Amino acid sequence: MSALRTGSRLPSLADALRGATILVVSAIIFFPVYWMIVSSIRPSAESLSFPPPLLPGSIEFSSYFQLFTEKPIARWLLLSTLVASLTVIGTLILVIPAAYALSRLYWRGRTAFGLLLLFTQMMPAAVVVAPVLALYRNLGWTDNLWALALLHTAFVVPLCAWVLKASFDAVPKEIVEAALIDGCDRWKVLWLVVLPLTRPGLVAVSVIAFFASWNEYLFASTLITRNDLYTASLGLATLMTQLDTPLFVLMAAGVTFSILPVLFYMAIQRHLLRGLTAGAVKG
Amino acid sequence: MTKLYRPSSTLSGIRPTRRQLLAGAAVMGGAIATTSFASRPARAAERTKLKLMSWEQFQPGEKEGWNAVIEKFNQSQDKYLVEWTGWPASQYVSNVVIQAQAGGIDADILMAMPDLSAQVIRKFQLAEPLDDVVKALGITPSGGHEFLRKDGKLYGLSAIDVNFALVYNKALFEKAGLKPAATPEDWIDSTAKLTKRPDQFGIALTNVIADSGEWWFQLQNFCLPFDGKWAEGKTPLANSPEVVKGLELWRSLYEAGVPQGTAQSAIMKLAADGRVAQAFGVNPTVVVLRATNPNIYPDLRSAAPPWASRRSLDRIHPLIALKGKNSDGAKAFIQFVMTPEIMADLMITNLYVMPPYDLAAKSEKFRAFLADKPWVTGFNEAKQVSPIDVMGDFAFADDQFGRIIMQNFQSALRPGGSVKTAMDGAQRQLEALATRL
Amino acid sequence: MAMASVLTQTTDRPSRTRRARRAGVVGSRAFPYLLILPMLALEAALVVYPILRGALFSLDTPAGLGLDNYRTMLVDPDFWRMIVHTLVFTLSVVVVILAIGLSLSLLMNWSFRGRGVVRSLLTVPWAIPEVPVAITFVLMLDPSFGVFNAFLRFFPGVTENPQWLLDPTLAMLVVIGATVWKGFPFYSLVLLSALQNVPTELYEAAKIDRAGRLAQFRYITLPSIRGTVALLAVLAFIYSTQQFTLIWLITGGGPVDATTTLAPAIYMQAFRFYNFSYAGAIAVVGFGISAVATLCFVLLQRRMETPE
Repeated sequence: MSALRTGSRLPSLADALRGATILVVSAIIFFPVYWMIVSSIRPSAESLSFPPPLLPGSIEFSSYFQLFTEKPIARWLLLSTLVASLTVIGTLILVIPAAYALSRLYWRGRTAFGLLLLFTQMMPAAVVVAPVLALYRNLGWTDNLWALALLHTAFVVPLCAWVLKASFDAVPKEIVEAALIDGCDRWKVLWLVVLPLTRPGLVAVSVIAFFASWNEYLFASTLITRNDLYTASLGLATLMTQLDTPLFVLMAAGVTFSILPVLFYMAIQRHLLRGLTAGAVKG
Repeated sequence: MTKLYRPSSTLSGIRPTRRQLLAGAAVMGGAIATTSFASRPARAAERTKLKLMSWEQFQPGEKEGWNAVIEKFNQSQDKYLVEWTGWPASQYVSNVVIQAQAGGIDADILMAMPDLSAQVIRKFQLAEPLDDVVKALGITPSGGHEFLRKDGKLYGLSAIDVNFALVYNKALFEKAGLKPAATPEDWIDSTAKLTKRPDQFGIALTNVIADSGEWWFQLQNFCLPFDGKWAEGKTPLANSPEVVKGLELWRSLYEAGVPQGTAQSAIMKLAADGRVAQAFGVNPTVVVLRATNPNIYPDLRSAAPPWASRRSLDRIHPLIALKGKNSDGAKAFIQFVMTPEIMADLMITNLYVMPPYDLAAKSEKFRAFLADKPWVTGFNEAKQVSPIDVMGDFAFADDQFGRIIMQNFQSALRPGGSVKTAMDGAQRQLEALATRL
Repeated sequence: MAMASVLTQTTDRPSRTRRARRAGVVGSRAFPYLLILPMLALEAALVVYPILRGALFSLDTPAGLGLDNYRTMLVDPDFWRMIVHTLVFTLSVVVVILAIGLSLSLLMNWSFRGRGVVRSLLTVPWAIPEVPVAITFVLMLDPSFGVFNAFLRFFPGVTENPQWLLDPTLAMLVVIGATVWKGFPFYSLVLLSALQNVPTELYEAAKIDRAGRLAQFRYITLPSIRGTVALLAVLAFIYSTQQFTLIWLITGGGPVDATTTLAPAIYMQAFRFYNFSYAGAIAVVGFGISAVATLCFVLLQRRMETPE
């Protein structure tokens, strides 16, 4: 697609307009992030003045210094990465076959199963969390990060199944049929034909699972009480103490904790680009 | 889990070439592996573990004092070993409630905020009476303990007792040539004089409903300036003249010198930066300010609440021994904490100034500490009132009562709003609440 | 036999279903069930069972199991106001977040230099934990120091800083805005992956037919991603009814109760007022609203699709 567009002619008015739109829209959307970063690196007197200067007058890293010296940030990030990665793996293992069944196969109860998956997302968490804790206590799974990842998987997988199903739906039937004719069984069709064509969907699902686990707080705080097992979201909460919520340290933490997920996204986002659909059909 | 988390044994069979590749993973796994087992002390099996559930281990300026107490207890005997569990204050209540709903609170000793403790004792009925402890120590718990009693038995002893007074910044008052107010009129007046928006604010009062806990905590005192009460028995008195006058005083202060609509977190930052002249706050406010900005601590002073009766609310955060197989251990720990020697050290380290019982009479050290702290005078001059004295039967539905007051009061803060009209509305809702109690 | 029918009937729609059924028999009738079994088991154990237990809380009354909580709830004016606030909030978020998510995914689907970077930057709101997001919005809106007020001063006639969070309408707009801002990257990500699945040949064919951009969007893009948009509308509805942290930290459900939607109401009842079973009853109603909305949507979808 990029070859089609960029190779053609000199930048036209439409291109310039499009560039400007992207720039303006990005700037507006990115502003709160910018404000968080700026507030976290300048003296508090600057942020708490009116009108607050748009650019920092002077830069100081005291919020970050406080954050990194008082709290075991690296360890929290490490454990969060572990739990989020496990969640991604667990999600992919469960979601690929299920989404395939939802999208490409016909069976009794398919609609009911799809609706059931949506229903799992509807109950407000505040009421579900106590029964989950009771269940995990009976299983002896509290203070266990593997079990936490499993729970994160359980809560994100219905959403991912739907997203991936939409992606499977878009695979042209002709390709699947051709493969079936060539003598592939259904497993081979799934692994060798459908999955390579739905890379954007798989990437999307991985990102969703990673981010969901990374930011999840309620279940984590209920199930993990040992501070040596704290993940980033639990660690963040320890900054909010009685009578004192250190505003700018929290913003510094917000910036710090979002870096890894964004890097994760950056690393895999190029796979969001078109798969091989077009070529496969033509060939 | 054990198998997966033992990278040293898995790694031993791998050839050196691959070892380098896996070194990074091993470091990661190793870090996790050590922590999974590190918190289990070597000889833990011989001792009974006691879980102390609290938010104090997260409090800057206070956790050190508590760690020292636990350390001393663990060394003083060899039967029990106390360990922390819990959450930071902002998530504490919800997590304790979730645990109670999931079949029980996973702790032996519970530290609780005032409202939570009343629920644990009355609704969940999970507390053990502590009268034995009181008797063994020969102490007389302070009057504020009244709400921890049920059927004549006492179910909690104060770990942290806070009361309200006027905390002020001496430097800013001196610069303006002012003294802390003694009457409501003076108070409004000096607040206005000390305000230069947006650089300096005459008084810090929590005033947004997003900080509802803190706001109600402070606002609850404003039935006292004109000797009112929020309720008598089951009868709410929200629109009584005394309460309305008290809230009008609050509103005058709000107009004169409060950072309006500013979040509690930003207000505390302003105070720590020396841009707030005074606050109507509790003694731990001083502790927190000392922790956030040590330079401001020498300038802090306190004065009695600026009204004739000098009465202000006293809020006890008790230690509760929970029912269960370790309740004897829990009582032993509470008794240890309440010993004059130990309690005096804790109070001195953490700058707590409101003892759970007449500690000054029992501890020379504590007496000397109080005499040495210029900022405690106001807190000591304030006359303590228990919430149960001003809330009637609503003392056990405190948060719900507060929510109704704040929601209605908010409409009185908009231009042209009337406190009386707002409180008439609150009164109607509170009467409906009374029928559900 | 099967082969022959595949070869001859590739374009015939109804027979496709028949053929696919036959293909399913070629494998095993149990195959689809085997595929969903692990997921079904996990959901049943860790999600469905707790949900049912949670719903049971709502029947818990001082006098044993009963419907008292529901009776109290239905005559409580606060409850009905909460439902109205929830619907206003939820429907606004659904519309705005889909509009923004779709426009951005279309923008990002264009190829331009630095597309990867821009795309990654636009995921940042999603990556930041909710608490710092909330306090940043509160700071930006602060009546004394907020940068939004500084921007507002650029408009002629604005001389006072508005009390954003003391005005019911403004406060509602703020929480809708914050929710959309935090949530849109998810929607544009999913839509982007859907756009990537639209076969390029269709656009090429359209170009040959000299169809304009708008016509391409109307006749190619939109039909291809309609299923995804519908799914996202349902999800946006469900998740907005459960928005808690941002509302709680930015407005606390206020002013008065103008932004008290379902999730904050449940939280307040359960953890501030200690009425856990009453909170359970509100939660069940919330579940019901989402379920009804979803079913309506599914039926509507079907009706829209049948004529084609």
